Order: sequence, then C-alpha cells, then structure tokens
Amino acid sequence: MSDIKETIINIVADVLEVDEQGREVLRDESGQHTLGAWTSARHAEIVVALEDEFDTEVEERMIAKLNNIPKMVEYFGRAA
Amino acid sequence: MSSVAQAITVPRDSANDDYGIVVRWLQHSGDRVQAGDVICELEFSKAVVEIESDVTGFIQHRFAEGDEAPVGETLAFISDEEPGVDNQESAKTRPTESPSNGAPSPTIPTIPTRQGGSAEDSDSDKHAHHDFRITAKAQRVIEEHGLSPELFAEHAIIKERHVLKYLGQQEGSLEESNGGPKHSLDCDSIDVSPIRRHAAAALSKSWQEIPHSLISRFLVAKNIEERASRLGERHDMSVSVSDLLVEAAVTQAAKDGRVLRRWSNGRILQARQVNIGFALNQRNGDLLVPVIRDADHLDFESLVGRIRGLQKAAIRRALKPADLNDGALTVTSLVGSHVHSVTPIIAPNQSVIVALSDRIDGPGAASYSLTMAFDHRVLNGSEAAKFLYAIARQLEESP
Repeated sequence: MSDIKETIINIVADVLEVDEQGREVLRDESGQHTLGAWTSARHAEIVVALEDEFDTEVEERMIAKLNNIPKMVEYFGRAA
Repeated sequence: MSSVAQAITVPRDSANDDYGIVVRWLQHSGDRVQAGDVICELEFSKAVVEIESDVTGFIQHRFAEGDEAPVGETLAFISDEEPGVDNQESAKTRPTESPSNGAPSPTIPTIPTRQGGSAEDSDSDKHAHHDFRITAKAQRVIEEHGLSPELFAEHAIIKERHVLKYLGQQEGSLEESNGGPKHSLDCDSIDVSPIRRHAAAALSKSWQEIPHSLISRFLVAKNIEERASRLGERHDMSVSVSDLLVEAAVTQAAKDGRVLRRWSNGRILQARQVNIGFALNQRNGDLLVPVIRDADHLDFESLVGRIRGLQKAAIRRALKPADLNDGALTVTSLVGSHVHSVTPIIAPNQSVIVALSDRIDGPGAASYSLTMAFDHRVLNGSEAAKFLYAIARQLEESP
C-alpha cells in the first residue's frame, strides 16, 4: 500500500506542479483544501492521471469524493 | 445529351453551426465515386463529419478546402456523366432535389454584370454580359462595402474570402499610403486549433449580433466559502465555489425560466429544459463549454459529479456532441485567475451568461464579483437583476 501511496503522491504532485515542500504536504495526508493549486479543474486532471496509472475508471459521483490522499489510496488500492 | 446531377447538401451538425468548414476532399472533382463513398470531411464546431455520396457518379466540388460551406447549401454535385466543360456547367445550373430532405437544393444566385457599356445598352450588348456566381455571404459583404462584383471577375464563383482578401488589401494600401503599418510587418503565423477557431467565430458573431447589457453585484467571500465548506463536509466531497455557481444558476433558472429564452429572427424562443453550460479553459488555451442537460433534475452530488465527469471527459477529449450542444444558459468562473471583473460574452442561441470573478481581498471584507450579461432584446434590466440577485442570495446563504 505504501507503494501505491507514493505513486499517488507523485502523480498528484506532478499534476499540481508542486515542489518538494508541496510533496511533503501531500505526504502529510492533507486534503486538497490545504493546497491552493488543487482546484477542481486540477482535480479532474489528477483523476485522469490516476485512472491511467491504475487502469480503472472512476465513476462521476466518486470523482469529487476522492478529495485527499488517503481516500485515493484506499480507492485505487482496491482497484489495483 | 444532358446529365442529371444529384446535389449533396451540407448537413446541420448542431443548432449552433450555420456552416461547416471543408477540411478535406477525399475525391477529386471529376472523379467517379460510388454510392456510400466518403467524399469530404466537414468540420463543425463540435466534430468533423464525414460526408458520403448517396449515389454513384462523377463528383463536382462546390467549395474548396478551407471554405465555409453554409448549412443547406450544395456541397457537391454527383453527375451521371463524366464532366466536360459543358456538362460541368449543366450540372451547376440544374441541381436536382436534395436526397436528404427532399427540399430543392439552394443555388448560388447568378448576377449578370457587364464588361463595359452602360445599362441602357442594346440587345447586341447582351453578348458582352458575363455571368458571375456569387455566394450569399460574399454578396452581403459586397453590399455592405458598396463594391462592384466586377472587381472579382477573375473568379467563377465569388466567395466571401475573395471579397475579404480584397478589402484587406485595400486596408493595407490605405495604411501604407498614410504612413501606417503594413500587414506584412514581422509576424509569425500561429496555428489555431479547430476548437479555438470555432469559438472565435461564435464569440464574434454573438458580440456583433446580441445587444449585451451588463449588471453585477459583489458577494461576501466568507459566506460563499463557508457554504462550499459546509456542503463539502455534508456530502463528504470537495465542493468548489465554481460548483456553487453552477448549482445556483440551475436552481434559479428552474424557478425563473425567462433566462432560458433566446432571440430568434424577431421571435423569442423558450427552452424547455434547464441545460446549463459551464466554461472550461483547457491547458492548451481552448475554450470548451460542456452542457449539463436537465440539470434541475440532479441532486447536489449528481450535479457536482456531472461537472467533474464533463471536466474529465474534456481532458480526455472524449466529449460527445450531446455534451456540448443545446445549452440554454452559461456560467463561467474566473476563480483562481486573479481578476476582479469580467465582461462575459453571451453564447450563440442563448441570452444569459453569468460570470464569477476571483476572490477580491480587501480593502474591507473579501468579496467576489458576480456579473451577468444578458440579451436586452430578451430580458429587461429588472428581470435580469432579479435573476442575478437570486443567484447571489443563494451563493451567500448558509446551506
């Protein structure tokens, strides 16, 4: 699961274009509310990147619910 | 022997498009095509459509690649005889009925003009007449600028682009003679995506045709952000201020359907569905406006889910025509853009667009500005104000 978590953090960080400090914020299991760059538009990009990485499709109603790293780890951990 | 020519007309791909752009001919003019062959690719604002021939015969193009082909006009003729000069002309002048709708194919009006001489010249001079063909668009531009069609005598069919090119040259010459800049100054041509080109055409058309009126109101940022936060907690999901704007527009449009009207040829048409478009800026600069159909039938989570689903589809370039058509009202959010006011342009076939600025931090309490542009032919000021105020109140109220 830690591999999945690190993969997700890297993907989120890449989409948000955050620096190492930003990655640390993500590792601290924060949600998108703590990172100004994590807008709803960027969130959709994150979900697209995660879908590609884990070869799964997130249904519409779930997209906005995957609003922090732990939820993503749980969701894509089940899909992996 | 006379030939019979079958007209292939330009189809309507969506209510928003009055023309398609000829991207590519797949058969040369004069080629023999089989029924079912794809003859052309036409680009509309939402899709590139392949046009098939319904019959077998020899094709004659009516438009060049890159031309704007108006919906309903004849795109090509399919003739049963191999075209020589004579029967090419024959096919041009005797179109048969359109196979798609049974209506006679529109023809390009022929304008008799003179190669010199006066209007009172005798019959003997008729042989000196030269027949031009001129498209409706070209005719309009020619009339607007008081030009003579003879200026374009070199073209068998005078098209809008011929006239515009001429006007551009005239403008350039004038500027040059006035010591002004020439159009050929150091400039790089930047490729424009089809989406951007169509968005530009639609926005230009709307800006020119719709009498925009603007009203605005400031909103207390703290109230909206608290609403987003509370709804997010309640539904265990991320909710943005932009989501709230869509929600408020849906709710209030369902209550006050006047904002779902549009002006059309001297009449007002009322949309029956609350189809809300929301503007999406893509990373490459393209502007898309996905439409949430029957948005008033969705609960809050489904509405936000639909927004995210359409955002995702836009990123994947997987939006379908149904996702982009038939919007009755548009909202646009500039949250995150660092701007405090916006003059939004109403989308074609709509009468209202509502725009939210980015957060304005002081002086005083932080705020957002909410602006509504409306078609003053459809709504009067008090009607528009009522709608904008209702949205503002909903955005600021505690859920």
